[in-house]
Amino acid sequence: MSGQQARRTRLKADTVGGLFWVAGGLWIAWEGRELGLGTLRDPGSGLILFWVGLAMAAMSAVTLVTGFLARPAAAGEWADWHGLEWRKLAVVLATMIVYAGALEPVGFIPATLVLMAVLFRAVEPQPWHVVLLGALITTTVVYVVFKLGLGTQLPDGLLGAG
Amino acid sequence: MDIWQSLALGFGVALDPINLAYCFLGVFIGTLVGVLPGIGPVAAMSLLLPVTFNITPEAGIIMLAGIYYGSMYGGSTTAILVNIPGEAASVITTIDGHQMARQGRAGPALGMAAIGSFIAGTLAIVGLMLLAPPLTKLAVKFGPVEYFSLMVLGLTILSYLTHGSMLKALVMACFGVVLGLIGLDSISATPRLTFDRLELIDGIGLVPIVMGLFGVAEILVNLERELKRSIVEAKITGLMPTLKDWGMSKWALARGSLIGFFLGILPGGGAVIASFLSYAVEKRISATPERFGHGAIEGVAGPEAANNAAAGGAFIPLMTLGIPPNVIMALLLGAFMVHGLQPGPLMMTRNPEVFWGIIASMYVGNIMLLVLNLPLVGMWVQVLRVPYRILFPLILMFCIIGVFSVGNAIFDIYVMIGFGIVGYLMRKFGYEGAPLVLAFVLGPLLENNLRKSLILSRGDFMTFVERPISAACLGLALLLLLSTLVPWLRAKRQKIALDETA
Repeated sequence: MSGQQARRTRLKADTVGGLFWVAGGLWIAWEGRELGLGTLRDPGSGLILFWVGLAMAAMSAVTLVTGFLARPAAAGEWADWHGLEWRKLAVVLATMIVYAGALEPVGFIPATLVLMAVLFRAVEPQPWHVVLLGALITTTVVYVVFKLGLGTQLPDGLLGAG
Repeated sequence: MDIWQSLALGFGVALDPINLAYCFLGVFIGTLVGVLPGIGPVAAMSLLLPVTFNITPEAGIIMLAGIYYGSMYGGSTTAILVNIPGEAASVITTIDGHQMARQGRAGPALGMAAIGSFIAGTLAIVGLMLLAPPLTKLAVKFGPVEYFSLMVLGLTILSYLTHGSMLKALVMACFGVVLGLIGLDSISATPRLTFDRLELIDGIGLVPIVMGLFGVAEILVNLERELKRSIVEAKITGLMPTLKDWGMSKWALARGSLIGFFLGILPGGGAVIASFLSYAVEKRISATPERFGHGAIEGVAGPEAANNAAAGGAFIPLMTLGIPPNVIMALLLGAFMVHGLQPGPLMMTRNPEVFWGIIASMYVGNIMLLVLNLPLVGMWVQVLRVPYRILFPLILMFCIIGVFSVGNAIFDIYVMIGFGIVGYLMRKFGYEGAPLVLAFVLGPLLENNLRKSLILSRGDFMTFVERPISAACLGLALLLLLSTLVPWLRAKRQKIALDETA
């Protein structure tokens, strides 16, 4: 990606990011106002939130405007996102979310075995025997270190042994 | 109690077998995360923060501090042998360090990095030991007005020195303050931004945020890159630099130590900036600047000394004022608070064993690191061969277990995943995580001191400019902000601004 192209990408990203933070800042300022600003002699709970929110919105507005004004409509503006491996990212994130949900009902050992097996496969496809052996070894080591060594409370779940 | 008595007390604590063991564990893990690209000291310290709950405060802080300065040592090994910085403060070491390795001089490069780190680390501890007591006396004079202004200055400096747009860094600092204010208002007990969720009443934890922004996000970004490593295969021999090497490096070491120490003290400064500045200084004053980039040993000695000295200097604002100057010290502040300790001017008198124990442990830790990094360098080279397809899933799992073990709360895992996505998007859109985390820690303190100042001054904002220390801090912050409007100064800033968090 050329330097100019990188700059264009950043500018486009600035308009999107700027818009998001302007809205976010205004919402925070609103929440601060709702909480009560109080007086200068007796500042309320929302005083800092109000002013910090306004500052965020103002600074983001500058980023937004500079990004928008300098925006050259050219191809490759989203080059930062080229080569993005959506599937890999989605699988890793979804696995972690499902793991968090399953950890307590299913228990540490079975949930972690599945988590590790899926992660080992998702990050880079490897033979199944490597995946399963890796999952088994890491789950055992983590269980021994955290549960038995450090006394961390890991959920028992279905097996009643987690 | 004079300084020698205090130090004797400190060594009594540091040489306790349990504390020695935790010190070793800390510097070992520090070297490990320094060596391994993809996980840095911030993530490692967050991961091990829960471990400190079950041990004494001295042992816990000694271990966490060991991870920090240990990572500074370990980062150079990867930089020299693989041309990938193990952590951000070793970026500059890749330039000449890897060139030396390619010329068959990996041994002296590693030796100089380790011994230089040891010398600078030790000098920084001496500086910390000598400067902390007088600064503590000065810090007693600080009231809420001064604390507020100093924190504003710290956040401004960090935003100023952060890579990329300063406006974006300031937006992140504001976002960090907002996140820090989630939960019950400490003065009126009003819930703020809790969305009626019971889990948010106590606010969001530091660990899930840090692990998400720096651990999970780092892996997500790396998943879409093809990371290649070319490890220098030749056997590493002759770790001791020659007399000629020492002659060329001695002043670089001294200058690097000084630069690092003083930049470490600066709120918002840190090891990364110190190493870059040291390299720039060495290249500028060298009689043969053309050697830089082609294996100049001063290009290894100066920056390595600087990043280790900065790690020592960074303890000063935390230990004397109770204000963390960077993200890593913010984590240490969290660890102190978990144990009911408040770093600051009174710590030296109230908890001298903790204060001096930590300082003495740093001497001991530096000696351990020298042993770990010179004779055992071969072991770290083997660690470097662990493939990413194994490493990344392991890091993700450690992040999850680490976050869960802090409070046995599934909610924290979701928070971490959420901040992992936020951190990933922040990198894509050019926003930095360091100002956010520091502001998150300072946010509640900032608010508390501002409200106290206003109540004490009966709503008079002039109190912030009438008191000299406060006026100086705010004036400097304003100057930094205005300097970005001057094109020449803005260009200068872009040159020195760095990614502190990588």
